[in-house]
Amino acid sequence: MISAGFSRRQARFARLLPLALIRRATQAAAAFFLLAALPGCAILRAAATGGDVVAATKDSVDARGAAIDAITGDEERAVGQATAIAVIAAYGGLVLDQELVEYVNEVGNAVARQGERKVRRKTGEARIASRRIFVGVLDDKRINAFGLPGGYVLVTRGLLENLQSESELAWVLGHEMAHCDYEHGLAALKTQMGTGAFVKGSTKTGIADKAVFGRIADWYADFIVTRGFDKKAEKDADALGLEYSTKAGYDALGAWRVLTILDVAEKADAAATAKKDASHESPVVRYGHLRAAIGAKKGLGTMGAVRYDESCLRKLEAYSVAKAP
Amino acid sequence: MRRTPILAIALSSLLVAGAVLAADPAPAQPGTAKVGFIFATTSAALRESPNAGSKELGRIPSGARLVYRRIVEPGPSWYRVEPPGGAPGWISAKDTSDKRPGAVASSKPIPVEDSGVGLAKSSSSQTAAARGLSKAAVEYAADRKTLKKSADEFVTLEHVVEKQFGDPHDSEGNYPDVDVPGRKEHATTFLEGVK
Repeated sequence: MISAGFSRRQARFARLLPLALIRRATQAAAAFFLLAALPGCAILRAAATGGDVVAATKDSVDARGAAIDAITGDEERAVGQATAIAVIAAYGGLVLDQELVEYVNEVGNAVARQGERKVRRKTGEARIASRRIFVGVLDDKRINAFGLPGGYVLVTRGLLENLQSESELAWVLGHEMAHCDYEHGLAALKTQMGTGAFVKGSTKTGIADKAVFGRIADWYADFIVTRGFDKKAEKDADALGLEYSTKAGYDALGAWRVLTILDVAEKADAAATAKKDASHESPVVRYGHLRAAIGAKKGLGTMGAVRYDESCLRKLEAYSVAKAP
Repeated sequence: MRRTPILAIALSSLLVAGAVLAADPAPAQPGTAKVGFIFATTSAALRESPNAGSKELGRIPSGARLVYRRIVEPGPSWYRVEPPGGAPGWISAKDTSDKRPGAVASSKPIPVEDSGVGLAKSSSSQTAAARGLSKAAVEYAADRKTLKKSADEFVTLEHVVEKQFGDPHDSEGNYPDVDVPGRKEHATTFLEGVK
């Protein structure tokens, strides 16, 4: 059904175009939608089993906030740290180049500063006041990114190498920070905690217990790498990430450009295609959710391209050369 | 009407993305999509269409990184490329390379610190906490021998970010549960530099 045709607005717009261009655009769009209908690589990917994660709507935030109130800020960061260490190990380590690390953290901080924690107590104050972002670059060619509890964000070099501008990076980091602000990870964790799986065989049941914490971190690392959040969480993070990045001053079309890259990457990733996931929303569908918000802004989506090339791409090239045997 | 320019851009870009499949660039296997990047090896002309006689849209400086999404066959002889921050056009393949020409920028590797994970148990937690790793994360990494290297890299990253934003942890390896005002000022200064 996705490839059935254009929306009414697109059709109106198409009437303004020369016939030949319409034909070419239709053929291309059909190919694009066919491509996009396929499942793909794991970047920001929705989960098959994440349907029980509480949706991060405004109405549900208070309820979820109360439900996970037992997890403190320190515990949240501890889960984020342990999970980050496990993901770093699974993804080939970190790219530790001074200027590259500082640059991605500058962009991440500039975007994250535009937002706030979304999970609040009934009194209105943020459940956890701390709001930091730590961005690490994973030395892995796969295209992926992770937003972990406590503001720990990991992006792969494969993703960075496929971006062209700071606007695109800003949306990716805004999206990941949105997961942290909505506490999507803690919501998933709380759901899993409710099954009793983490406390089986333990005399203690709290997250502070060493054995319980170890099971939690193992489960969460596997969850974030192999499954990820559900469609609703991804949709909310897409929208909030766009809000953060545009508030910071970046071009909204950066989001669209990233989704285009993901779409093409999904097509090229045969292994990911084999893992067809019915709950996975394609980049084209995700763009559809964002289209109105993106349409309110104008530009080419390539804002900050020169600084991105100098501060990120050239540093990755240099790192590769320095690392080569 | 207000959205027409965006739709125009989106549709034309759909055309480009879709054409990736249609044109199937030579370096890729038949039937696979290919988007990649190349570099200009000289000050090259960016043209309106894939032939040397078409209108020159501008010059691309040597060393510029160009994202391509479409290639004219046989060849590839012409790439449809997006120069950094500019409108797309066509560049002759003879003016490009898959490696950036000239000297490679220097890398400043960050020396990896010892997280303390894996030290004698009496000092491991204390050392790691002093380096910003929570006690629970220290114990988690220590129990899984394969995570020592990752833990070291993680605390190294944390230290760089801490120094960057003046955001230290406490003696227990935890960060105070407050938003750090200095980071907002930092962000404002940084964003002024984007073009």
